[in-house]
Amino acid sequence: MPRAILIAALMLVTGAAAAQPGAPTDVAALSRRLAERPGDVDLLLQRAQAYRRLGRPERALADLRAAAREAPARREVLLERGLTHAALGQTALAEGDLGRFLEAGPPTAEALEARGKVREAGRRWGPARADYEAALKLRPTPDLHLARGRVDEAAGDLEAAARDYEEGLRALNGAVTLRLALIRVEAARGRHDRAIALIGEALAASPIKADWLLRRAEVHAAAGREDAAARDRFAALRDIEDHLERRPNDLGRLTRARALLAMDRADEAIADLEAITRSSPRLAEASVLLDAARKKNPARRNPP
Amino acid sequence: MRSKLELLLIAPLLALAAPASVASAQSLVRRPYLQTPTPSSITVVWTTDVPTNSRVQYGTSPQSLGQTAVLGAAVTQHEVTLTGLAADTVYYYNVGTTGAVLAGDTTHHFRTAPVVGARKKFRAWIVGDTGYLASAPRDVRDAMLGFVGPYVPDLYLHVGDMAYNSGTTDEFTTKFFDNYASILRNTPVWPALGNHEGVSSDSATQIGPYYTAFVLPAGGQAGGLPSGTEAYYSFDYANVHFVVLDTYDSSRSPGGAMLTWLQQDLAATSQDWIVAYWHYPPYTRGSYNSDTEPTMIEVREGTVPILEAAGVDLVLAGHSHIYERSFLIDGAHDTPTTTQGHILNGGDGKPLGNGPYKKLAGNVAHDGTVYAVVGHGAYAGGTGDHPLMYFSEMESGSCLIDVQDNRLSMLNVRRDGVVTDRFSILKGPGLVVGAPDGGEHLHRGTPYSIRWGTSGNIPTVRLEYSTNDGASWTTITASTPNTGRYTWTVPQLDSTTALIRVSDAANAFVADESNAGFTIETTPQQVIYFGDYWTYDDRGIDQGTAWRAVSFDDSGWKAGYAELGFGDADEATILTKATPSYPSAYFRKVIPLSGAVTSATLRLIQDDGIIVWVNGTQVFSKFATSSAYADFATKASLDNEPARATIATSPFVVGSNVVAVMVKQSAAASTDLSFDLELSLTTATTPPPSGSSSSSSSASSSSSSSSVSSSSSSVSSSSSSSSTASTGTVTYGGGNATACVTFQRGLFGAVRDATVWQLSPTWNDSANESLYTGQQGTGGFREALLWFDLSSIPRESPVVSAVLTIDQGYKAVSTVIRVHEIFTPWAEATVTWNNLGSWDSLVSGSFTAASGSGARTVNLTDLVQDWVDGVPNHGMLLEENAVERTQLRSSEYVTASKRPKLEVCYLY
Repeated sequence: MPRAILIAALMLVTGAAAAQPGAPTDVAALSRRLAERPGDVDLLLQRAQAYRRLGRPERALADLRAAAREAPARREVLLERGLTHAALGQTALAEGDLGRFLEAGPPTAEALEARGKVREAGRRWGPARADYEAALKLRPTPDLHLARGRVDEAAGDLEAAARDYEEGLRALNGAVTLRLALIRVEAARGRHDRAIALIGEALAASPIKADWLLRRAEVHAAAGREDAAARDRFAALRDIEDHLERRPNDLGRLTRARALLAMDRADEAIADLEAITRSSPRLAEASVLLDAARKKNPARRNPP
Repeated sequence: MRSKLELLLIAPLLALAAPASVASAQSLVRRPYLQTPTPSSITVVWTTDVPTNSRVQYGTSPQSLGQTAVLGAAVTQHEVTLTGLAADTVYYYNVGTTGAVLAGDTTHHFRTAPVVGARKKFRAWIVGDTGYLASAPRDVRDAMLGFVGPYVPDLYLHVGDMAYNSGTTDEFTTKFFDNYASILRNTPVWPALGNHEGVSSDSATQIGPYYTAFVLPAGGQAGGLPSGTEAYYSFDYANVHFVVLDTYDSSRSPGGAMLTWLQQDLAATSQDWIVAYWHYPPYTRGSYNSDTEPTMIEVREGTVPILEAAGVDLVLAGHSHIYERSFLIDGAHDTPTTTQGHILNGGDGKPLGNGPYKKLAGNVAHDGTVYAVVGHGAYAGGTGDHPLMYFSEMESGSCLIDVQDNRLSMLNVRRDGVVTDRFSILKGPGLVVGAPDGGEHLHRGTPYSIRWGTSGNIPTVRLEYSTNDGASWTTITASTPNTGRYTWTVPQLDSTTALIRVSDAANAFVADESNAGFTIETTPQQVIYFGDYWTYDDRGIDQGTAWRAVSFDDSGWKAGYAELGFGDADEATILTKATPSYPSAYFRKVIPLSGAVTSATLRLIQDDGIIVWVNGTQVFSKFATSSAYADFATKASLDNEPARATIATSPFVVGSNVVAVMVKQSAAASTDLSFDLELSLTTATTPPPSGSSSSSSSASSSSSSSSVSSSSSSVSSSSSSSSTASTGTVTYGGGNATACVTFQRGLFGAVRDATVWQLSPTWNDSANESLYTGQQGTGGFREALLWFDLSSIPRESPVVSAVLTIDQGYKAVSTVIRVHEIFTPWAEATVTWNNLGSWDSLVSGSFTAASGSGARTVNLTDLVQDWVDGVPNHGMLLEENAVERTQLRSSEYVTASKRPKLEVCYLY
């Protein structure tokens, strides 16, 4: 297919984000325009999307009700309503709307991905995987590759998950997100050497090696090579300490906390993590790790 | 993902440097541009109208392009990656097919990236939202090029929206690649996806004109971790880690692929600096409000916290059409945005102001970040009142970033070429040169105040200069106390690549040098000033062409001070407004010149069109193509549309010259007209004519010198040098010199004055021939206001003396009149007791209004120095105790010589 036609075809099916790019999303601006043209379905859809993204789904649904009254045949209303229901946690309604949207015309990756998430949340791994698989054919993003692998992992099919991540890794220039997922799966299914090899590739290219050394330590430990694991943990801690001398940032401290936890030095790890959660409260990984550390060290469970 | 063409051959073929053949069967659609530079590779890209194979010939000398890379496939999008290159090295190249060269000459060259981590000085140009086929983005581009001169950027960073409205292939070609072709052939561009690109390009599939055009390091080829996508990526250049995100078309979800990659990427970098950019700004009040835009809220709440945890230093974005630059801030993630606890340094960050923003050495989390919105590459608007922003400007422009080791500086070059904002970040102990920092024009043999900022304990510094871009250095002083400034006598030589270096006298490794070169040249003279005196004809009469000659008799014309015009309420002289408007108005000014002109620069403001002649030769025009009286301008300008141009020197002659200007309306219905002009000339120095009598004062003198009273000039320069030229009413100085300027209505410069009166608090008293201070009986207080336009004095010139002279009417009892600085703007025609803003309670100077009458003087050197240094000049207020009312001559007084005057002598 000539590239121009392919582009045009893809633009047709990539959904609302591509259909209305560049349009103002400021609710106030949209409201002003809607005051002039109250029945404009495009504006209603844009404002509904803006409300949804602002965390005000009830208002979004009100706009969508108005849009449906004005243009009952517009399938974009189904898509936006499905996304809004999903945001509200109304999974059955979301799946219904998204399904009707997909039945009414050519599939879009956005709809497929959204329905996949709904199905994944309902632990319906097979249908979720089918949606992600179909979406990947339209949009081979890192997010979709990760999602497909994730449901295969959840379904217990580690071999399929590894295949998914390998495919993504090849397709997406060795994306680090897919490499991390693949390492996890390979380690989980006992393919330690493959995991070590994947880590080794990243280790060679990374200016700061501590994170990768810690991952390798985990794999060594899982393989029963405790000495090698201990060596890697020690090397990781030394590397990150050197790094923190020059770059005392919270991402480095997070790595150090992980190293300390791996070395059963939970007190020190907790001190690091408490400091991180104070200074970077939106760094979700620190909070998760802090909870885990406190579980390992009940004496520090209640922070001062 | 676009498939990459396989490199079939990179062979040391003995390619001829001079192309043997010229392409005829195919032609370029996009001229060559450069992608993904690393220390050892770069990708050269171009497009052709028909499919051909691809060849790049390259080498380190333009005469010897001894290496060749060839791709055999027939394509229209040519992407040839050159590998095995030496780091930080200039290569020349041409592009074409195996049978023909399509582009390539000595102007086609690139420099490979420095070794990763190298503390190598470099410059990046950053711009956003440029994608219009209009004059605005070209003006912005040209303003940058004019500012940098030979110090062109090493990198071109674009924050998105480079091809309005839909980022189509044609739009990319005409609005981006054509517009910037002369830059792109030398400077690699690193783009971020904007929403307008996203109309035609899809980040998920990486298909569309944006993804076709650009070759970006999805696999971490230029440093950083592989993102797996060209939508977002990172790269290293020297000691900076750049992160480029897709905030339009990739998931911004915490835990999503982009932010997961971002956290991993930041955790893995060991670079000294982190600079991140993307399209949607986290903080803005330009054409968008970041507190009401969902995407911006998501970016602020999800992306910014990761970056700040990693110690990001600078974040740049576009989308909002405005220039905004924050204080040094951290942690302002909530919605709505608040300032409380988030401004770590509320200073201006300027080396010449509050000093650079200081951060700890290394890359420390939450040590502060500067956020800038640079979506002003074509147009600008909005309220510009975001509370985290130190500076906002609703004018188009672009920014330059200079990095040297532990110093990062950024400046904003407005569309008219004026640098309106500048800040630096200094990490750890160090020095930052504030002036000269690049682009300045210093004058041989004159004093210049070198300025720098310091972090840490550095008691003494060494100062050096280079006239060959740092190839060699000459010591100015081996050790001088670290006061932050040093008065340097500029050497008697010419250079366009001069630098200053300041270093710790005890540790040469702690040092900084000018970010770019400055010029040393003979002294240009402003022979016409903004606010100068012009003859003009606004009667709606066709003057033909004779009026452009110096011999034309304009004695029947009117005369007045610029700004001349009507309709904007900012004119010093109001011209006749006819209905319908006359198409053209005429302006003339005769200037004497003592020597041959070697360079000439015009700055002007206009509304609408303008044509300028010198001695009958047209030297400049804008928005006007016809000089016929009856023809209108070609378009409506901005109010006070600025322009700047270097003009031909050939029309100037030794002796009398006339600058003749025609200002045109855009239409008969136009409601305003504006004109003001500044002309700066550099003349060849010649010995003084025998018997000339230039006034003089020594550089160290604190007394004022006399001024030249002339209707056509008002600057005098004194010198002890023998290489002084003088003629007529202008005296030019060379060597160590003090320039003395007398500001007085009718002599030189704009002057405004008025009296405000407590008893008539809403009355404006500005047309009176007298000013008043004090109180008579129960008549209430009067206060006199005075303002002199000092903008003609070069900024930060050392002021030797500033004396206000004011003529006092008769009075019986002596009193003391105090002078205070006014803090807020006021307008002569509207100021009253009630609407006058604040003024300084401290006294800047005082004088005795003695019994009797006569001229009184007061020394205001410190106050004027502040204004010259950049403190906003809102003029002065004169007041006294309630003893007696004092009458002073105002600028309306009929005898011009008795009007208030301010004589300022400064080193230049």
